[in-house]
Amino acid sequence: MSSEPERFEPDALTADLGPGPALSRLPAGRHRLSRSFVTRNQRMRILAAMLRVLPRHGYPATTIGHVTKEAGVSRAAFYAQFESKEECFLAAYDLAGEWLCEQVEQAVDADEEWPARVRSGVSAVLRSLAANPALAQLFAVEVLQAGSAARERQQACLARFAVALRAGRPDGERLPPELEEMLLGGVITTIGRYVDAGRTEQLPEATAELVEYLLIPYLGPGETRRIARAA
Amino acid sequence: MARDVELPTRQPRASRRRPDVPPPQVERIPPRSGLSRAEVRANQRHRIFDGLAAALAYHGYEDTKITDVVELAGLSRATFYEHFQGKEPCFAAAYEDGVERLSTVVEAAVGGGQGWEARLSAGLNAGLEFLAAGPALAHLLLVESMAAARPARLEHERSLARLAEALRPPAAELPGGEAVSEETARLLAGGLASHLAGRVLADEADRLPEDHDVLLQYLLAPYEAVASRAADELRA
Repeated sequence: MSSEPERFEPDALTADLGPGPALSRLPAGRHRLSRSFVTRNQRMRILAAMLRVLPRHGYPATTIGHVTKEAGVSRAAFYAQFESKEECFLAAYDLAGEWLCEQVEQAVDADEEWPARVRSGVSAVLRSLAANPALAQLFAVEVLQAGSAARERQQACLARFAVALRAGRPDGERLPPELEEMLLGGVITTIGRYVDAGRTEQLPEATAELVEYLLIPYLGPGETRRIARAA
Repeated sequence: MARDVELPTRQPRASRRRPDVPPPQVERIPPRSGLSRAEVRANQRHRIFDGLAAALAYHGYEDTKITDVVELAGLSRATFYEHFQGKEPCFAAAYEDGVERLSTVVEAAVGGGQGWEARLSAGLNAGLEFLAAGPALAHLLLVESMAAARPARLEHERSLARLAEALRPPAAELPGGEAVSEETARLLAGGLASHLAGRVLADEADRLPEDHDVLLQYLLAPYEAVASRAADELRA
């Protein structure tokens, strides 16, 4: 747990496209790269650019021009991939959500007791976001400003984290799904409060409070506090 | 590069339209109604708030224009600007007015209750009924308050802090165990608001009163006596 939290590098999105032209602009004029290679390369470059420009302007003021300039692609290339700024944002949000889920999966040890797993997961989320303030901003603030489709995407993301939260619970002991998503909604609101106060780097401070809050409905307050005090 | 790509026809404003949201029923004042200047102004102000709420439900905060608000409110632009300098101050006033109305309803319901749990349940019930009766206002208070400009978001956070305070039982009525920390109360308030916002976004505001029991279970979870009673009931 003492390892440095991972940094999210938007540029890494294009890394798996292989060496050479993938990482830079494609050569102008005639070339022998396949159509699908070019398309995928452009899509990933546009998404990486979206994730880089969002923290500079905020979602409402971000324009497609900002994104295409950063990505080094034409507007036509943008519209070949996405119908709108919103659609591009949603794809970028999904990628970032995917990455955060992976951080949790990597941090959680399936052999641990359930409360310890919850603690590892919460700690991984908070440390990952503290190390990547732009992503904390994306998950807790930008997504709320990007229209109703983005809010639906956020609900889907919460549902996914709810699955991670209940993983490892003894069989038959389940909370109503609404209650689990509500718990995670509270976590997002808290992250938003840190972001708005300019305290994103201090997010890991909230670990103990968040773990206690998440465990209480499952274990009851007494058992939760015993665990919290033992930790 | 790729000049042959055909640009899709874009209708971004149309795509955000929510035809399922009914336009507000605005009651206009007939000419020579005999109302005082102050009464006319108060009526205009509330029509602007209703127009704003309806426009936000259609377009979202970012895409809402003053034109949409005045069209839905049935007022002229000039009248709008007599009241507000623009969208941001108008939103702030509408939000404050909505929170005020919600608090009044909840406080009235809480007033008569015997014991903290009964008061919490009554307040929750009144709040859910209020939001269910006005989906556009619920949308403004719970969804757009987070989407609006930063001052509005900070105001919403202050509302959540007040809600958190209201969710903590007074020491004399603590239902067993220990009091929850201020931080836990803030988490509970945030989770509650996030759940309500999710319902509103899914166009299920009218079904909010059905959530009363699960919400009460959520808000009471931190209290030992209540938690063990719930467990007993589950076993029974």
